[in-house]
Amino acid sequence: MAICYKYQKYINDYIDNDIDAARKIELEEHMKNCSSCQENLKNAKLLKKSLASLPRYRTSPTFDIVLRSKLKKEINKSSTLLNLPFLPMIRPVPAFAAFTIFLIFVGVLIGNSINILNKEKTTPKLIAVEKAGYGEEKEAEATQQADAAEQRLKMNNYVNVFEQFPVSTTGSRDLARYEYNGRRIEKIQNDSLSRVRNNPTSKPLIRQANASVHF
Amino acid sequence: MTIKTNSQPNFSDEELIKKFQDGDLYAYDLIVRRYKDQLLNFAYRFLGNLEESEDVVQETFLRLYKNRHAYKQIAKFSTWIYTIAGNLAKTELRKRKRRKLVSISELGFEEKEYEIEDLKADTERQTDSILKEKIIKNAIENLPFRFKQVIILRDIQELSYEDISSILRIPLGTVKSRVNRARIKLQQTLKDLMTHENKN
Repeated sequence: MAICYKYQKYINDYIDNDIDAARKIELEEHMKNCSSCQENLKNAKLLKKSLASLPRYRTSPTFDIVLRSKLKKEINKSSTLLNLPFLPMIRPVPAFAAFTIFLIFVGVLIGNSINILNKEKTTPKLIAVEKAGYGEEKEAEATQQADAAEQRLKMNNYVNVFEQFPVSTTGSRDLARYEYNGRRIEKIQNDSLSRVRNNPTSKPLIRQANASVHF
Repeated sequence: MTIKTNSQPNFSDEELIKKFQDGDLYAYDLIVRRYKDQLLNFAYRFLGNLEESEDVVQETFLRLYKNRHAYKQIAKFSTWIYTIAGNLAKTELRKRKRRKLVSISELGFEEKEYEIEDLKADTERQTDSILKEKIIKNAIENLPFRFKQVIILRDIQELSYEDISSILRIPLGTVKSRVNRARIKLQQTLKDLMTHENKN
């Protein structure tokens, strides 16, 4: 059976009673000379009628009883939970996402405050920056000063340790290796060590080495 | 919650759902009565099994109960409930596909008794009607899903194109074109039946 595609659409609209007058006339004119479209229209009508007249089923007699028992369970379930009016509005996935974001936020806050407390205890840098205020220039200046102070502190620590153990070269070398400004410190340490080796009464020399380092 | 003994059941769907949203369980009952058979037939044309279809309808009404506040008056209630039932039927089909089970009841008749509306008393006609239904049912089941959806909604449930467009959330033009193509496909599949019917 051939299908005139243009008119098939018209046939479809025709059986739905959804066709404008002009197209209806055009289709009817066409069908006078097209047996295929005539048959298509007949079949389309028949199909529509057959589909519409398929047997209609009714729910089983137990439908209402089963539904009511399911509803009862549902109502009991929801009343055992917190029966608050806003609960139906809460969707589990967005609620979980919001809770996770909240936890991350709290975690970051706690982490930051711990970090700040630690820095306050250990570095003079932060204190210097805070004392200087928050202007950009002041902050840069304060940062430089603070860096210098930090280095001085490290060097003092190193020298103090070295003064206590003037002959223990390996110990002081190990210590120097772990210092922040390792290379520079090691150079000074080597200079100091050579002087220490030359002069057993080394304390004044070490102080001199300390004083000769410009930060 | 108030349970009203209402002697005027001629409320529109939208009025009933509003009453139900306000706590009127009688309104819920009326909605169930109004839609249970329609939805059963709708689900049945997808699933081809009455017991499974009834489960889908039960679940639809449970969801209606649980999510009553999700319904907004901007949409037609009928399209909303058909969307829920359609999605549940689709899920059931997917589950069935996964299980890859073909139960014998699907091939024959269901064990449970279901009443058929307006079945003619004449045995010959009854047999003819059952056979015809089986042939049409098979033809519908073999349609691609997108055609099956529209043909069930349009020619079996007899919903308007606008309602189908809202239920399936596709443009009106697409609905019309799919209905057209689905009808052509069905006519081709049911050619023998059509010839037989035309002769009679």
